[in-house]
Amino acid sequence: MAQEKSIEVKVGILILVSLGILGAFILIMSGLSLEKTYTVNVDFDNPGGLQSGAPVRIAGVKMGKVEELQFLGGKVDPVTKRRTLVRAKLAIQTRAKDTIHEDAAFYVTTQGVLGEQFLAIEPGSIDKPVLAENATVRGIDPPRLDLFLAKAFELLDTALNGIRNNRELISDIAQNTAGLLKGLNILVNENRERLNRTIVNIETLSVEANQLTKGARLQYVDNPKIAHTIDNVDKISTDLQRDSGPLLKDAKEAMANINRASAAVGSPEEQEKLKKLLAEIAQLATRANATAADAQAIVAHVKTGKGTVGALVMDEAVYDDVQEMVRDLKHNPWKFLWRE
Amino acid sequence: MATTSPGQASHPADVDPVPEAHAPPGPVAALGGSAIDLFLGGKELLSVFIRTLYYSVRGKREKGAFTTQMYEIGNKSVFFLSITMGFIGMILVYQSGLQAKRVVPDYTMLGATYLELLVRDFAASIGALMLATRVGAGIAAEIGSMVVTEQVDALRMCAADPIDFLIVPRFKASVIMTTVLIVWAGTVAYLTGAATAYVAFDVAPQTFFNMALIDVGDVSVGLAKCLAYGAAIPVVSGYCGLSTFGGSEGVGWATTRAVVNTSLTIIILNFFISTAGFLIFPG
Repeated sequence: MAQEKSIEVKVGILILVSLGILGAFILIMSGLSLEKTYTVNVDFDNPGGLQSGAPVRIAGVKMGKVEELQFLGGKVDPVTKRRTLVRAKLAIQTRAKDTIHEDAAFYVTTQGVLGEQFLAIEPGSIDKPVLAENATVRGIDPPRLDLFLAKAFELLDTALNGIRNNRELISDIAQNTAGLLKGLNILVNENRERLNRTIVNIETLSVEANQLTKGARLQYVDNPKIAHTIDNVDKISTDLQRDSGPLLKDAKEAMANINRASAAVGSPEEQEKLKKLLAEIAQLATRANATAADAQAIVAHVKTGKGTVGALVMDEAVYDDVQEMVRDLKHNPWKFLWRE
Repeated sequence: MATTSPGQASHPADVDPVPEAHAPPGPVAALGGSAIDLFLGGKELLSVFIRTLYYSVRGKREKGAFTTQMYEIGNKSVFFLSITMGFIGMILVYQSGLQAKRVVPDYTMLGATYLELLVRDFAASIGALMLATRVGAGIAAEIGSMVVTEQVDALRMCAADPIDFLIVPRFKASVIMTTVLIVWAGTVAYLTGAATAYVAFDVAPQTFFNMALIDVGDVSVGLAKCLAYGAAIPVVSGYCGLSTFGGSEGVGWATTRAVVNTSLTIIILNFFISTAGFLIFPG
């Protein structure tokens, strides 16, 4: 009986130990953590080999895990208004909440060369606000090495086929290029001095062009006069626009008057009178011209100091004599009556 | 076989045909015979399994037999299984580490991949194979010797079905204790593997104890294998024991057949459960 009891105890112990190990294993596997977490959603086009349960690390330290990977299939999210293929739901420890800012970067990377994939968070700048709970952000897709290799292979294959099929052509091109470079080298060596001069000239030209541009800018762009002129033109155009109505009205009236006048002078007698009048005016003008020419000649005569008026006006000695005589008469008024 | 009398002309037409039963079988006949034997054996095995399940629910309960069998199958196998699985764990990690070193000297994922392999397959399959050699042989030898000493016939005379009386307690005990032992053996293999990784490749235990690759699928497949192997070992071994004939030589053969057939069953079950696991829990 005692032996049976002993057997039962031993069996019970073994079962309990085993159940304990299994229970602990399942608890650890399911990510049992006493830390409080909050949720952040990260959208990816292709998260690579990231799987649910993968760790979320900030600066290399595990601070949460990928709780769920949802395939949204490119539907437009009503909140973010973005087409999303895959959404990773992250459970991040609440104590890391103040570290993650709105401009934080979420990207998938690998531990070691062939290690497990995990989601890394670059916390972002501290002057940005802290990322809110249940926020949805855009993640950085991991580099697609498979795609890169496929494209690189295609490129290399095409290049190789091109080289194989055009071997002679490529050889010709290489020879011609070598010849061209050789010729160019000789040309450069022979004309080194001239080339240097040309370069110096070009440099000078560019400096001058620069100065010219600056001057032109100062003169024609930044000059306040230009702005003033533009203002004036603007004002004139505004005034014109404003006054064009009344002006047109006046013009119309003037045209109507002219029409009336032309209608009035329309008869042959009136026209004859007008012609006569015009002929007389022409004669008068001719005479006036002649008179003006005479007057001009007299003035010229006077200017040269000829004649009495000329001497009076132009000769300073006459002026001085007259002045002296007047002064003398002022002092000696008796000279009006008595000659010395 | 008819004989011709002396003096009579021998003629092929007069010779009686040799009965086919006494002639050595041709290759096609041998193949057919083996297939029929396999089919009949399978049918018998299935019958034993169904009756075991039936008596597990409806059978009589013999006091103490279940606990005794649990002790025999479970506790008495702990040492053997711990030693074998411990060494297997060391060998697996050492060899994996050597291979990893050739490709890229990065051991960060050694523990995680080893744990996934252990949980999904190796702990259950290798542990069950070890158990089959010890427990299966024991069951077959015990029941076989009872058969040859006509104790089983005596049971039948007492209206006690030998399956209910002999196989059901072993079946129940094996289903529970195989699972318990594999959990224990898997833990031992993982710990010895971690020690090997630390000693041989300087992999810190914190790095080695990485459960990132384990998911519900791995644990489910592992536990399904534990239950399947735990059920298969006593049923196949019990069937081999019950089909013993002859004397002590027959018991020897029954034991051998029990170990071979149980191992074979474990490998085949492993294939089917793993395939189903990959289909149900891909990745």
